[in-house]
Amino acid sequence: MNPHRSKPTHALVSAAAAIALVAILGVGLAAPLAAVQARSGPPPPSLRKAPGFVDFGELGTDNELGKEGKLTLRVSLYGAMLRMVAELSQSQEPDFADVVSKLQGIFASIYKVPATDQEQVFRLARETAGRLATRGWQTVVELHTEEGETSYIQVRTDGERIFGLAVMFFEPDDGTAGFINVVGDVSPEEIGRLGRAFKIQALENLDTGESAGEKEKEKKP
Amino acid sequence: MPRPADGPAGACAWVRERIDPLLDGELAASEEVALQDHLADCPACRSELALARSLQGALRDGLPPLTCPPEVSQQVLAIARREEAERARRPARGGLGARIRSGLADWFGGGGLLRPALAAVALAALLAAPFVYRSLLGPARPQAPAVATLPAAPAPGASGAQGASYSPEEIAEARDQARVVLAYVAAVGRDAGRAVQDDVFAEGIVRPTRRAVESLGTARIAEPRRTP
Repeated sequence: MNPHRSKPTHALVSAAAAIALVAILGVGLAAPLAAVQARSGPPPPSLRKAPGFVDFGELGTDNELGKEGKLTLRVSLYGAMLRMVAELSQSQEPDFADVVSKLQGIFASIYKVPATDQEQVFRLARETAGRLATRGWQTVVELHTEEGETSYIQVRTDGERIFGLAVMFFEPDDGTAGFINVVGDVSPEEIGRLGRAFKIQALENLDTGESAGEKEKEKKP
Repeated sequence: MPRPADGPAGACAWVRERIDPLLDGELAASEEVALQDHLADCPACRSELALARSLQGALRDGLPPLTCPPEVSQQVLAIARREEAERARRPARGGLGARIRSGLADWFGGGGLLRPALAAVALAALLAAPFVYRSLLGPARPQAPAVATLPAAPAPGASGAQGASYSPEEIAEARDQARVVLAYVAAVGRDAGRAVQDDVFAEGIVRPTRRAVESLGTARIAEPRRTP
């Protein structure tokens, strides 16, 4: 993927995509992030067999970027811990708890990628999206800009329910690349609404997150 | 979703916020089920729904259909072509971060004071990130016991061991991580949606239409002034 292509912006939106997009669009949020202390752990076989699960490690994405980029956040939440998060958020953040209670897993790897390795990110994202497409994942958004901003949003669905969501993005301004998989009954509109609620706090962390570290801590459910 | 803990008033407020999306067919199926359940037991909300429905019907049926005059269509097409040509010459928009920051500027009502303020926040947060990130990411923590234990009944679709124990700090950290990841997803979705909106809807339809209508209106207003 050439970040300096002549076409300023290319957005590919399929029919189903438009629905999901509008849902996300209508709500929206500002942006996240921060590097936070990370929790990681290999998901259990039962979860790995779930239709909405994406093994970025198996797809090579994680390994390749792990070598070239600087891992700033790895999240691997599932099973008992995820249920606990939902339970204990119920009283104060019912909407958040509702979303989380329907999920089987939340996985994310966020990297800071040096400018020299950005082409690799474009390639990895494109190849990963292609592999997922051959495995029944539907691409609802593919966005490339002249500046190199890239995002893919893919869903695994049976036409009625969504089993999982895969999001890959690259933000050239600060070299952030992200590979995210949300497994379970994902509701784009609910996530968008939640994201809007997270807005400013998360955004402040977006500008400063790289300092928070890459500490990984394993906690299996 | 309305919950017993919210009480009747909370449930009614939840339902009334969703009446318009319901009528517009924009409500998620799961929410619609919850809403219909509530309506079955709540005459006041049924009345609100009936009122909203009648207003919508009155607006829809009461307004005459508009046909687009040929001169407007021609102007729209001409302006759309011109806009497209101009847009192709313009530098591309900023990236995700730039657009997010731009959105934040809008949120605060302007970027004049925002940039130094953000810089100050960034510097402060950079120095104190390990200590403050949790407070930035969320409201007060739920009151949890010293060691929280997984409830006996598993949540739908969840997997993992029963009876696992975590400290409140671990759960709070996990919750923050979940929030961060979902915020990322929402940000990417919103940005992509905005790009589509900008490129297809706003640039290709809304702006040319508005300009065409405005120029048409100006011409019609100007005519009487030239007539003695």
